[in-house]
Amino acid sequence: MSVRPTTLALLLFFGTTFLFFSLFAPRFATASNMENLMSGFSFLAILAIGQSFPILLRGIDLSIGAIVALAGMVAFDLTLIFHVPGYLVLPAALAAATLAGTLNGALIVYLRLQPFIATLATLAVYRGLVYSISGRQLVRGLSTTPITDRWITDLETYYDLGSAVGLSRFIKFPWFPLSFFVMLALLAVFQSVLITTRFGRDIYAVGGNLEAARLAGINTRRTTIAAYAICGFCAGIAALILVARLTTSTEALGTGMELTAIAAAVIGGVSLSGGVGSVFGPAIGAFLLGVILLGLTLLGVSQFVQQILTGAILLGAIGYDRLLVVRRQRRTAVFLAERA
Amino acid sequence: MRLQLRLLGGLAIAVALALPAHAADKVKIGLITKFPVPFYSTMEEAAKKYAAAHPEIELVTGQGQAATDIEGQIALIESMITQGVKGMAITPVDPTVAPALDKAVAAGIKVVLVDNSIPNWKGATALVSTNNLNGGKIAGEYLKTVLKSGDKIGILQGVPGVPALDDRVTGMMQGLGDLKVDVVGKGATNCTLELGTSVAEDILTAHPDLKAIYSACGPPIPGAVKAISNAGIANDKIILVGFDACCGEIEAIKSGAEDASVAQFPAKMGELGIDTVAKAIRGEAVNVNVDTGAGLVTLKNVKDFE
Repeated sequence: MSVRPTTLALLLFFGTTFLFFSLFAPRFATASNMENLMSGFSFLAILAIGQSFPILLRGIDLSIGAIVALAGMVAFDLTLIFHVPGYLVLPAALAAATLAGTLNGALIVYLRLQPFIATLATLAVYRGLVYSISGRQLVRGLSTTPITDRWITDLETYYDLGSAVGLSRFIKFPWFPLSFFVMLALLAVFQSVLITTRFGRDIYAVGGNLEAARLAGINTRRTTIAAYAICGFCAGIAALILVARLTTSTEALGTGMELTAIAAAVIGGVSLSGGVGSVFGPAIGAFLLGVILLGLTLLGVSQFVQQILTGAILLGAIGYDRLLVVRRQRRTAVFLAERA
Repeated sequence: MRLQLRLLGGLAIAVALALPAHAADKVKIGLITKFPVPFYSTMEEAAKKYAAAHPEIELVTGQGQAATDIEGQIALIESMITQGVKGMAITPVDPTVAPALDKAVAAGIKVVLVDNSIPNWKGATALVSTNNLNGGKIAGEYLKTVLKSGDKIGILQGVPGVPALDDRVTGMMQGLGDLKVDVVGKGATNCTLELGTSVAEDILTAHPDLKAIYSACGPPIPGAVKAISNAGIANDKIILVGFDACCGEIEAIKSGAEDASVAQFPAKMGELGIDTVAKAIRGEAVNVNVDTGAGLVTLKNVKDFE
């Protein structure tokens, strides 16, 4: 698979950036900053992992920011209005998010809509739904009532691994947030799904060439719907992490996050032309964005410049992706010409 | 022995005197503002000026991207903790940043809220803000001088549920005192031009005989001006009063389209915000509620607010 050189380049870029900020940004290489990086960007990595599936299918999901808000508001309403215990709230919020993702997939498959258009529409629908079910609007005073259910708030837990393995005697070791391990678990599961299962192979086949995949007997519809469902599910997980972090939810939760997640996925080497990429890359991509944003903030660079740099890096990643695609096409053309 | 001690003491004093102030450990103070609009830029400028006049203070600043950028503000708070600030002044973008501020307080950082309060949050050292209720009263008292009992008025709310903005409406009603006006329309604008236009249009369509419009924030005002002219109503037929004297209001007041606005003093907030943080760090007693004042802007004094 042609993933390797891209991933290597990405890791190299990540390492260089990390080293650069460690040397030049004050307090970048501190335990506290690493905690900020892990707790502030694990949910973004999870969103990027989810977003990889639609993009691998040559699609896109613009609605994940709204799905985050939807899952968050479901958790908010169930907990604070209906006093549902947390162990039921968590699966309910995830179910809502997965359902929203499934609906995206169904619209794309059965109405044959462009993923861009379909998810742009559902972005509006889901966000509107959030406002209409918002307990913050419906019940006075709820907007300032924090969620205290341990099942939810315990998602924001930090582990002192440094003391556990005895490293803390030598250096100040960061405490690891639970969200980081959730991210690692999702990464392991979905990466092995992509590599070892038939569903994973189907994803690459459908994304590489939809028509060929159909002719090869792959159930392209089911594959597509499943990919969008996974994307929704990941948005649900990210939402629960955010809700635990904020101890509440807001109507605007997740606004604009779809674009950052797409950026992370593309930077992580998932080709916008489909069929190429992993979920490992997007996770690195998310943390790369995190390293850059945190580093620039510590250097005192204004947020406008930060946005420009993020955009420039995205442009670079897309340009590199195009280059690889063009090269691949040329190679195929040469191969076919030689055979003819 | 005694001589040695005395010499040592003298030496210590000499060293202390010889060391310039900035060589001593500077106190790092953070300022986090909501998002890029002139209001917060003015606040930041004033804070920087204050820091420049107080060499013992090292100011670090940060700003979010939008009114909904909660994650961005939390990241800034965490970054400030990492940078080792001793205190911070912050304009909280939403009450949901409270858990992040709790972390700061737990790290021994003095937190002073500026401009907006966080209801029910106990961690703040002080609140430095315009008393919005008083600001609203100023608007109400002005309206009382130009309206008659029974006049129909419309209200462009800010973001319902945000106490600072709700207070501006409550204060205005209080300022009207015993004058009984008829509030015929009321709608949330989220302090945006777009919603300001449509809410004003809706009210004007239903009540063409409206006498006044009050807006709880600045951005909806140009929208209301447009809605009034679109409805074919003459400028001077409707009294338009805003809050903030920002975002096109100064121009509207000068052109006569808007009659008055309640100005806040962001520069005062920046200055007093950092001052309060510095005092708290030094362990001095601080006022829990620092009022930065408000003033009425009309055509007469608009020059002073440009």
